[in-house]
Amino acid sequence: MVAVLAAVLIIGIASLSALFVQSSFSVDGLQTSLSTLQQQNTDLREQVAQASSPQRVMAWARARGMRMPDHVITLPLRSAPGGGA
Amino acid sequence: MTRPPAGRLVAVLVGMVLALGGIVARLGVLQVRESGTYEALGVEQRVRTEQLSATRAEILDRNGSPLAMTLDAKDIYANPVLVTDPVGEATSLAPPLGLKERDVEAALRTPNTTFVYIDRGVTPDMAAQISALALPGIGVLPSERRYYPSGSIAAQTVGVVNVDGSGITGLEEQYNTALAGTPGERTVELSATGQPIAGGVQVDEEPQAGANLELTIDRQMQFQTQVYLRQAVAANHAKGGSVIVMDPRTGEIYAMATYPTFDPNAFSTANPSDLVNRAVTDAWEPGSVNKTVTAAAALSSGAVRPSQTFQVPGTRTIEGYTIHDAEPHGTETMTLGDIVAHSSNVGISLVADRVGNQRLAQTFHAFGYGEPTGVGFPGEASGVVPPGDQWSDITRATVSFGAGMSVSPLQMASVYATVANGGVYVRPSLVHATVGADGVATPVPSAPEHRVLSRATSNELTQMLAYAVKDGTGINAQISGYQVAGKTGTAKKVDAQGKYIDRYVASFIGFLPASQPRVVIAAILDEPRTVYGGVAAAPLFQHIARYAIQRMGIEPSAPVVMPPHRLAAP
Repeated sequence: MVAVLAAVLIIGIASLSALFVQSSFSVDGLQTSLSTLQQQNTDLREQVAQASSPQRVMAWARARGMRMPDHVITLPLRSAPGGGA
Repeated sequence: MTRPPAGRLVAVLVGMVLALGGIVARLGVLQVRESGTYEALGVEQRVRTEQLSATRAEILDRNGSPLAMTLDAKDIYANPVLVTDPVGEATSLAPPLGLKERDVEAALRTPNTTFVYIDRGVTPDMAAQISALALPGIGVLPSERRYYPSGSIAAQTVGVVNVDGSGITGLEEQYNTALAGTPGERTVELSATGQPIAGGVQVDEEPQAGANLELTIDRQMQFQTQVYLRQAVAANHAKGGSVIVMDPRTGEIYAMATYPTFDPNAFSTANPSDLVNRAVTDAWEPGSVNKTVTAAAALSSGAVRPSQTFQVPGTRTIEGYTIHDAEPHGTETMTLGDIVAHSSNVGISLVADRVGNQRLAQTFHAFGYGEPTGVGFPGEASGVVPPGDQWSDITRATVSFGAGMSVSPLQMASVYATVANGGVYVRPSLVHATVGADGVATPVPSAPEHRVLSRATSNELTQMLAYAVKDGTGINAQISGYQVAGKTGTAKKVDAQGKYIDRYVASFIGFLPASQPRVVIAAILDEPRTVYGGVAAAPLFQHIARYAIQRMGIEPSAPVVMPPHRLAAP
């Protein structure tokens, strides 16, 4: 009877330990995934920041023949009697 | 068979008892008296406490575009004791890392150490490439690197960090504590081979990420300002220049540019003088842009009325020194508006005589001369104004047109912002808010505003400045459809000994629309070939103002009336 109880206890402890170690590996795996996703997020943010940089946008536009206007004339819209612009 | 002597048996027994007693005693010492020490040694071998670095926060422009961000990186290190072939390993390491082979070899041969950095902050891809070489004694550590995705945009304002990630210039330095966050700590239990034991890692304290800085700078406005500044420096063969674009109502700075500039991603190769934000840290003789302050003192003290006239000769000698106007002329009848608009040194010195030392010095002080603006930028210049009670007649005359004193470009921009804001001084600001990791924004507290001039006085000054652009020295700052108010400045530079030299700083500071100002722009060129502010700096103001109109959607407003004047339009 004692031997059976001892065996059950040993098996139980071993199972719990295995479960604990397995959970730890799962946590480590999830942390690795989280880290990878965070890295990807940072990479994408870096790419967005680079792509939206005014220098790059201007170089891209110039390469396609665009340029800043030499003269900009502002024409104020006068209000119509009815209230519309 | 004879029995061994009893004495020998006793002796062996005693010996065994003594030996056993010694072992028990030693066990007692180890297990009881010194148990704590040995337990601690065991823990020390098995358990290690590591610092978890907090990620340095981002610096964003007013629209959330990143100006500085933190990326994952790796540090490459060597254990010289384990390096077997310093020459061969240096040959393998140096080319991909962009280092000199002899420097790497010297590091690999460092005596009496087991750790030396080879390179820091390299990209993860590069680190993987180095790891793949599997060189003896070479290792890789996790790290971070600061990255400035917009390159030289606002480089001097944003600043840079050193190799350890601490801010050393600009806002990176000013807000280093807030950006850096708080490092955490974790306990790791290691196996006999030094590998972490699964389940043996425990985070004792999570690192607290730093707070993002949300600036008042508009990245697009900043970029275009830098483009126009660079073009103006080149067109005028100038040594450099500075520009400030700010909102006079809030003090928020939209752009703050200094040329030459640098790439913060490679700042170690930059000229150290290019790292300086001269718009804040340099003090220069303002020259004629200071006539606005003298005129403000004259009007606010009641010493001079706008319609009052002065007989202004072409030259004037005071205490043996002769002052003269830029263009020779005979004695002319001028109002204060004429004097400001046509930038007459002689005329403004006559105005200063009416104001007197005390009231003029008080007005300088009220505008913040001689003190930092409070923007808090590292190394901000206070400028120097001689104490009013020590002024001689020639001192009063010279400071009235901005000579014999110094101010920073930011101080001077604040003067014009005060006039544009109806006479109320608002402290200039570069940071709008800090945003914590939880996304909660904490606005930077604004300084209490204070009135420097009455609204009536600021209106009269605005009329004079608008007149200066319409018919005076500032005509090159005119913008079709908008009324611009502003003033030109041309100031001689002084050398290290304080003596005037034949080099100049040209400036134009103004705002628009004159009756409802939305933006103040200070444009300053250092040593332009054409020295006059109205010729060199006013067109730079005009270009930036035109862009600001588009960018900020500034609408024209009703024009202000011209002040009383006697001179005919040119």
